[in-house]
Amino acid sequence: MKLKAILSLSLVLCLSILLASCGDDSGETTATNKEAGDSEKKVLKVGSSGIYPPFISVDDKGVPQGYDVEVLELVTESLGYEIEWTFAEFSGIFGMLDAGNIDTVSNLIAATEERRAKYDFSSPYAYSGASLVVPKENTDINSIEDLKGKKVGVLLGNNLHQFLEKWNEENGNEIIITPYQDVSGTYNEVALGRLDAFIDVKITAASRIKDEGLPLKLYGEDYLIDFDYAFPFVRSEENKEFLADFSAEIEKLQENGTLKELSDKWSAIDVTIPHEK
Amino acid sequence: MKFDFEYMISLLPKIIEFLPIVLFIGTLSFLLAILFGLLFAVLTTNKIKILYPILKVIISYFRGVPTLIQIFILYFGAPQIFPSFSSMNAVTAVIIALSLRNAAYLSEVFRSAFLAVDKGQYEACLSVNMTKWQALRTIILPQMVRIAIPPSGNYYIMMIKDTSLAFTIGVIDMMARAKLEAAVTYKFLEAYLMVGLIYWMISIILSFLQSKLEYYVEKPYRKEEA
Repeated sequence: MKLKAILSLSLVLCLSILLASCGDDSGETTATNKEAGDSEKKVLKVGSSGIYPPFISVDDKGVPQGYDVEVLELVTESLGYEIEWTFAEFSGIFGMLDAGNIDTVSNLIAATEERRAKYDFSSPYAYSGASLVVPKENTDINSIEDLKGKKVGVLLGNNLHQFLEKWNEENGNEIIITPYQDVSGTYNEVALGRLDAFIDVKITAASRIKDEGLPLKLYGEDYLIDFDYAFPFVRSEENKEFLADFSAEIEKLQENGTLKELSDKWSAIDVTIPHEK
Repeated sequence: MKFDFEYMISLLPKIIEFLPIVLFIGTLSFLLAILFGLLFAVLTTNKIKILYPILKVIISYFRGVPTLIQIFILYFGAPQIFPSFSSMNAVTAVIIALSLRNAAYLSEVFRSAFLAVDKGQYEACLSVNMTKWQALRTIILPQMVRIAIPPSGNYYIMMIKDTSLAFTIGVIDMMARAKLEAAVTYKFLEAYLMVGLIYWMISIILSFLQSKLEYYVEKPYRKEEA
């Protein structure tokens, strides 16, 4: 009898929790993942880590903001698309792209050779390159050669990681590369002296050093490596036509100076100057 | 770099907004884990032919492979073999992964609870003409429940915390929200500390509920006070 009472009590309890949370859940997804939109418009599903300011971040209300966001909004608007955002850990983003959960990635994605081999990229909408974040008092790291024997942090799996690994392999494997799963604590690691340097995209590094107020600086003026940034799409016949239109829109924005305006609005450095080939 | 206490407090309402999704995933996974765990336990203790060795492998997989990898395999790997899986949404994938993984653990908990009840009791039941089902239901199960509650409660709390892995495949939960917030301000320590405190609070509340439940099932073991 007692057991029956416990069982039925817990069953009722569980069911009510379930029902209650079901309701909450559906409310949640519509509020965060989907912008309320009319059903006539086509939807472009865009994935991002949401943690890459000033290119993409999320404001107080969960609304995406940044250079990437505004570029995408302009492009999709003229193509007649609505954006549906999905935020996820960066390590899961390309998996979601492959599996078709999202159509493209908005995370200042560098169009590297390795990625071009697998994905079709739009025309570039930003140009920058890699730099090194070092302690303010640093004097001995002035080139990539100086990293030999030093401990250098990278963001796991991003293009800078691959670049540094490759350089290291070709130059005697003397750099101690330490991958991190996300950027949360990495600049602190340098400030605390646990890392000698952290390799990051110059433009994000510059704004982060300023905003975080850490005793850090960038190692020099030039880029370790140049990158063009673009939106990746899964290679397929049906994407081809869309991608051509998509690229044409980006080029239009570049030519009429809109990209430059957006760059001035969001970033401390002009990101719209193409690299010399 | 100074610790910004006010900022940390200001995050509380923003992060706690995602408490329902955490409780939903954690609780539903836990209930399913109990269900599957019982099933696994029954099948493994009875050593049913063919099923038993298969189940052993399955349990070994779920116990042996890290949760994050299991979620990846299920969400990104499975659709490549079974295209119909690609319609599965991220929340479902996390719930399936968490519940099966913990079912494997819980089945061991239930098995040990079953073994802990002296075999002689079952035999005694049969000797007084009880049916097998009566013996299980009225004598063995109540004792099993009492033994299984403390370790099961542990797994529940663990599962609640494991839900933070869901952000890898795009489910925004408390941890994800904290990361997104801190990305703008770079105040990661403050944000993570806040999330940690919320999880801690949940675990304290759950532990309290667990002790209540334990008190209830202990009733037959207490000397009557009245």
